Amino acid sequence: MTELLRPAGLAEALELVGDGGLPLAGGTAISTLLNLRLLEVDRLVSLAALEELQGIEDGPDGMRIGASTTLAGLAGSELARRRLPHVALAAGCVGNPRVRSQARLGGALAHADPRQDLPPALMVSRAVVVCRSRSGERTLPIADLFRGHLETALADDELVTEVRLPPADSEPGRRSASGYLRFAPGSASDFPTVSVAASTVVDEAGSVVELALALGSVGPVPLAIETGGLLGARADAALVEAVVGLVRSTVTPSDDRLGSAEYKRHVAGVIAGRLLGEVLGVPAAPLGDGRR
Amino acid sequence: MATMATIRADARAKLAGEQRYTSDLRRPGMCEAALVRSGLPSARLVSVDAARALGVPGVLAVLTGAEVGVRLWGRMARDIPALAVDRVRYVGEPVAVVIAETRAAADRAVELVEVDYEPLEPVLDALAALDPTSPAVHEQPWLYPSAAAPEGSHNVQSRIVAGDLAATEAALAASAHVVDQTYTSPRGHHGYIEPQACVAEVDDDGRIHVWMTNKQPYRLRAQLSECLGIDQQRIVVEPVAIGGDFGGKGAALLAPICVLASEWTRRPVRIALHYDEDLSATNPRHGSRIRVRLGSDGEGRFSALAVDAVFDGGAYAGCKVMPDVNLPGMSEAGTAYGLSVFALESVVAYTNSVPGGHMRAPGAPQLTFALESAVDELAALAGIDPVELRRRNVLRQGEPNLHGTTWTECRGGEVLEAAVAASRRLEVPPGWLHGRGVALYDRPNVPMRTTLRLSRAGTGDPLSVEVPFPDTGTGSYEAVRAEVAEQLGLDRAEVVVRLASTAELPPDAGVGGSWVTASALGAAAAAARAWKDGGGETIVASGGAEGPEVTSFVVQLAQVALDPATGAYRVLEVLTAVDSARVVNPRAHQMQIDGGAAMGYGFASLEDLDLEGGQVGAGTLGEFRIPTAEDVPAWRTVLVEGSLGVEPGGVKAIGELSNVPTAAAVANALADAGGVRLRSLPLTAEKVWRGLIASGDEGAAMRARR
Amino acid sequence: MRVSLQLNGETFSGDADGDESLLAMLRRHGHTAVKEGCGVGVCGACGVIVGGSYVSSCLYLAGLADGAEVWTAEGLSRTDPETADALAVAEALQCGACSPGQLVACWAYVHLGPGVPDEETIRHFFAGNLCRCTGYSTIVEAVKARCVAEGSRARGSSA
Ligand SMILES: Cc1cc2nc3c(=O)[nH]c(=O)nc-3n(C[C@H](O)[C@H](O)[C@H](O)COP(=O)(O)OP(=O)(O)OC[C@H]3O[C@@H](n4cnc5c(N)ncnc54)[C@H](O)[C@@H]3O)c2cc1C
Repeated sequence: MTELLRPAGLAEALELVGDGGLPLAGGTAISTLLNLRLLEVDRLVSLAALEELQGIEDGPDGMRIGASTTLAGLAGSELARRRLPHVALAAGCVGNPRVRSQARLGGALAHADPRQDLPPALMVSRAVVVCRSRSGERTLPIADLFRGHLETALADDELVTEVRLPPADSEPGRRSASGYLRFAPGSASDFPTVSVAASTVVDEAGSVVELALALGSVGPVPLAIETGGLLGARADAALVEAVVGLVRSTVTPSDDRLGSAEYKRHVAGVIAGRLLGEVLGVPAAPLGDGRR
Repeated sequence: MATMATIRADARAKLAGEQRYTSDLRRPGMCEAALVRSGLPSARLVSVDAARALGVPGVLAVLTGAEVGVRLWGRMARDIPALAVDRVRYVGEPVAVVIAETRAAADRAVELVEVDYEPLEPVLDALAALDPTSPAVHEQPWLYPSAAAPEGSHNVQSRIVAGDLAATEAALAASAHVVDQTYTSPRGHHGYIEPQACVAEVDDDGRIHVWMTNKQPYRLRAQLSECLGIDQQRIVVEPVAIGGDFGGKGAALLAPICVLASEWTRRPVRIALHYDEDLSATNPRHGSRIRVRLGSDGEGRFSALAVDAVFDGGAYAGCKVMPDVNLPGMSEAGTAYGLSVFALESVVAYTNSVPGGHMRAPGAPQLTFALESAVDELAALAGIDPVELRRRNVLRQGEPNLHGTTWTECRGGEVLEAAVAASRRLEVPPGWLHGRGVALYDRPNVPMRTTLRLSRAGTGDPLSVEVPFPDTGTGSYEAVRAEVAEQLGLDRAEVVVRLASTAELPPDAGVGGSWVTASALGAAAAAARAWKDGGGETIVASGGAEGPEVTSFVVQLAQVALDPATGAYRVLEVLTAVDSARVVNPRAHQMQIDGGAAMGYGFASLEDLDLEGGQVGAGTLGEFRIPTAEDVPAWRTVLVEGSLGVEPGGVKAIGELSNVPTAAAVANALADAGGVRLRSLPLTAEKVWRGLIASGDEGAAMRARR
Repeated sequence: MRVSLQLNGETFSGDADGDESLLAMLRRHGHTAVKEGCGVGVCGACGVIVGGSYVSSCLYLAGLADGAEVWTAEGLSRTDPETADALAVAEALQCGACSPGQLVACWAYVHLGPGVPDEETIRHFFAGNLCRCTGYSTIVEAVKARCVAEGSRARGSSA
């Protein structure tokens, strides 16, 4: 017999989780496992309704997104679409409308499936994950949250309570841009074979001063590409070319039903190049899937 | 003639969720059962320990094969045990049944049944299975009742041969051009939305009532009777709606176990499969490996055809229904063309995998993918445009096909021209390649008969029409309703069509083979006549397709946009041109065409139910992708009207045409776009990409490598 | 646990295990307008509205619906007959196994958004509602027609 607990506040939730309850956000991942008869659980602690975990706000110190924000809420938020269009876009790609209105940011992070859409998008925006347990709070750069396939750095008694993002780059003359591209050639509703997010800042002289790139489905965890060596370069086709090579030499995909490792490595390069070309305004092969 | 402008009688009830399907039924005192399934592809069954399972609150009983004995069932060959005895032969095979007060309790207990196996070497591939040194799935399969396995053969469910192999070899040797290629397709699931389910109940008189996701109630009754040794008159298959069939809902599957469980508990029992079980352990389309040799003279006129097919039949042959236990589509090899020299061999092999069954034109999609791909390959060899090559060879009016049949009317050429004339080249994004592919298929109508009962409870009551075939959703009930109303000069609102139980009407073939509308219209005409003669008394009348024998041609043109850098492609449009006679309900007719093409597209591009590590790889409907509203190409249809229909209704079958040529049309379009010839379904982006790299097209290969 | 909710405008109260889905609980209590299909949230046959949001009842735990308003195809086809009409008139169904889910999806599309009669937007939304029978054209047509009717009424009332 499973107990389903609906705490009234975060403190109570932390106690219940501390006592061995399993956090339940939207429940889409947990219910899938239950329905496939792959999970048995004694106590579920529902977080969806907790007041403390709601809301999307922006301020001088940056943005805050509560862990119980639905993916549909994130995708549809005016603020998110303005400040983090690639994150809103990625949230809008997940599964189908029902999954998006049920699944929560916290669940989407703690689930830690490397094929998920949201993590790469948040990674390129330097998101920080706030984790709480009854013994305290800590923050983790989002990349440090993911430890392996379906494995996170969260302790059993720890909850993701919110995600924080640094303030927007406001230096005059600089141009910031970002994007997200998922490659799901069989069915748009499937997990992506490979996905990529990018965020860039280009100065007045046309040099790249910030370049963040992260990919999904290319290894056991979502992968941030180390791009330090490319900073200062001109935003041009040569840079895109260099990134394509860098991506292919960095990713560590494996074979599965969505494709072989070799294919994913190849495609990772192609879509990283296309996305970066688009984000930097450098002509490259078109985005899209041929429908339009 | 009746046409339909009004709303289907079942529409509102179905939309509101009022329509009852098997798993919606709840009989008084009903309990729920769930199956313990083999986790190994081949093993000796040593013991089943249910002690822990029996400890789960609400669990009533656990039955094993040892308790119920060897109870074999089958649609033709009877080789499938209701529950495994001594031996398991595929992952997913039922080993025991847990009966409990609730489904949740049954599911929980299933996990606690401990089965001890002694693993045996499995054989998982059809070709490997035919090697005499491979493990035998069954010791002497020819001994099963109604088996087609040749005596002394090794892992053969069925072997059919036709034509003249020596003459074919000689003609191929003398041909100017010969294609000799092998094409493969994976196992495939029907993708109906309603998982299989069964409810069984024994009444006070000892009669067994069965409700099931089964489209052939009388044949189900016969299967149960043979399997359980119960007189047919003691079994009543009760009426219930079916939530999608596509060929998958004809086998007895759960019914024998469900009846046994109900007899054991003396209570009504329901088994409702979870979709993941349905994917891995019902009766999917056969995987195929088909070698085609096709020759032509210098002008591209076909000289001879040899087809050599091996199908993966899985662990049992009992889900197939033909007397030869082969796939009926195989008899259509080459019939669309003017060809007289041919040789056909079709072998269905036993393997340690889920038993193969029928799916929408069984055998034809696999065969047509192979054959129509080969026709394009021959076109390339001969340097002739693929449409032109078909134009030169398509079966002509008055010309006998390779079985010697001369159709009264033969419109392959017309249908081909209509398709080509309607086709417009579509735009592709900059940098993407455009391709168009064609494929052609012809399928004879299957003439059948059926029976209707007309009655009216009292004046002012609607006219009740009872039919022996279930409603699988195609619109056949609406056709019957319209036809009876028309013939009797009634308003359609005054006619109600419902399914009878098997206690009420004489044996009937049920739903299958696209025969329902034609046979039902025949029966409706006969019933209307009898009703008029009978002056309002209840009548039972049979009738059916009275001829002429007709075939229907279908031609599809697929257009693709192909991204050479990744191999990703979009099927932009599938244009279907089809022979058509009188169309009873234009919308239902159109949905047969669109829904068929969608299924063809899934077969072409997405669906793959092959094994991984001895078990079906796709664990969920999220992994076995069937096309979504967003994925499907645009559909276009050209009805090539004026065709000769089957009397008395004047109609032609439509259900199993548009799903057949799609895979070849898409494969041919990809070849046209990027010079990539793929011979293995599904046509994934990765295969296209690999094909681009391997192809002779330097430009495309270069882009693919970047 | 005891679960009490407003089901299609009426009081419903039933027992449920903590790990039981809303789908399983409703069906166990005879509310079979909610159909079970894939069991993993992709097919949409079990779609319902819970507390104003459109979810898969197979992935929604029954206990979480305690106190909420739940609408199924049974109720929505009654309170919004225009949606049912649009689907029936377009004959956007065959076997019917997905149909209650299509109706709920159509209701959600129109009333919770996006609500626009744009083909691409409709197809993207309805990618979560599998249908193996129709090939989807009639469904898309029905949703479009429903949106147009709703739009013209909205314009009419604001004018
Ligand atoms: C039909 C379907 C299609 C899908 N398609 C996609 C897709 O295309 N792209 C994609 O990215 N994803 C896809 N997914 C996966 C989806 O992203 C996840 O199921 C979802 O994000 C999980 O969120 P949830 O709120 O439902 O999590 P839950 O199921 O509630 O929880 C998931 C895990 O996180 C833990 N957890 C939840 N909240 C917290 C918290 N605050 N702190 C600590 N631990 C917590 C839970 O204990 C559990 O282990 C799909 C899922 C489904 C069902």
